[in-house]
Amino acid sequence: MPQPSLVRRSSHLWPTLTLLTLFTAADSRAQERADQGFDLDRAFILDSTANLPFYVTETRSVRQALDEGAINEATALLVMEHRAGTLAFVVDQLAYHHMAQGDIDGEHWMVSF
Amino acid sequence: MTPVIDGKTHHFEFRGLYDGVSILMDRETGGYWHHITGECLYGPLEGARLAGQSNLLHMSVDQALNVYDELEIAISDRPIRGSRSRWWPLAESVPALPDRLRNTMAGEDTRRPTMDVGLGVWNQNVQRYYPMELVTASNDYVIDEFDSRRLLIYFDPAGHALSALYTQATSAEWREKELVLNTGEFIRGGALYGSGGNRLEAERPMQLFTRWYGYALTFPTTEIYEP
Repeated sequence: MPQPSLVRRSSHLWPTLTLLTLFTAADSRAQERADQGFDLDRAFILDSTANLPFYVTETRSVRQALDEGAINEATALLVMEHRAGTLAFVVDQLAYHHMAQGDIDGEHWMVSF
Repeated sequence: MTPVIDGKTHHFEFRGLYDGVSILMDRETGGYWHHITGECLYGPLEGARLAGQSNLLHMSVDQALNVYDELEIAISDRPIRGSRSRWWPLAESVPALPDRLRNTMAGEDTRRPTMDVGLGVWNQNVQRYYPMELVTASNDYVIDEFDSRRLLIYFDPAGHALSALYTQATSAEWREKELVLNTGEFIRGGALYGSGGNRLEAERPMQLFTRWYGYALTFPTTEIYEP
């Protein structure tokens, strides 16, 4: 069965979907999203204490962290390659914070996950 | 990304979900920002975009030590699991999309299954999604033309993730866990080496090892790789 490339949850939008098929699927998806703007009702917003941000004030070498037992060989990492520099994070920790930011020699960076 | 707007550093924090992905809030304006594109979606700076996009690459500890001479790590006060977590690797478990996430999505791009895993690659001109199953079916690597440049996409056994780097190679073959390119270069332990065994710095496009639903909603005009 042919599948529409954009499926809406609300049935009243199906006529809109029919019109959209007149355009290329990719262009229509982009245009529709641009027209919609940000829908606050659809956003899932947490309070500020749900996931504390990770503002980085100190780092150590990966080898030192291994030697100290802070991480081990099985610890999954994420490595940022920013123009400010390269920095590793622990996947489990970023999965909680969802972001980290700081600076390297005065150049600010931020990552999100 | 670089959290500086008009010369002033803004302080961000995770504040929720929208279109299936995280949104951040900056404390200075209270605006909501897309965590992948760095675009302000809502608030006084709506339409602004953070500069300095940078890759965040999945790596094992061994791989990270192979790739970088001196790598620093930032460790927070959150507990670290001693063994492989549910986030490792992303491709191992394929749960259903939670309602909490689905309810934030206006629509869904059904060209790929919702929870499909792949590598999204993009620049200013092209966005392309490489389904993991297609890379796997192609002996764990493909060489593709991406915005007039040759791109190698491969499943990195060291990082347990898909990864992409620009290359001059036109073919490759696996020898044990090394991917040997016909330029003489090879990839071992996540690091790129020259034919003489000297380590090279890989040039990588922006990339995200991700599930389809969030990537497709972030880049609605994305192409999908086809062999």
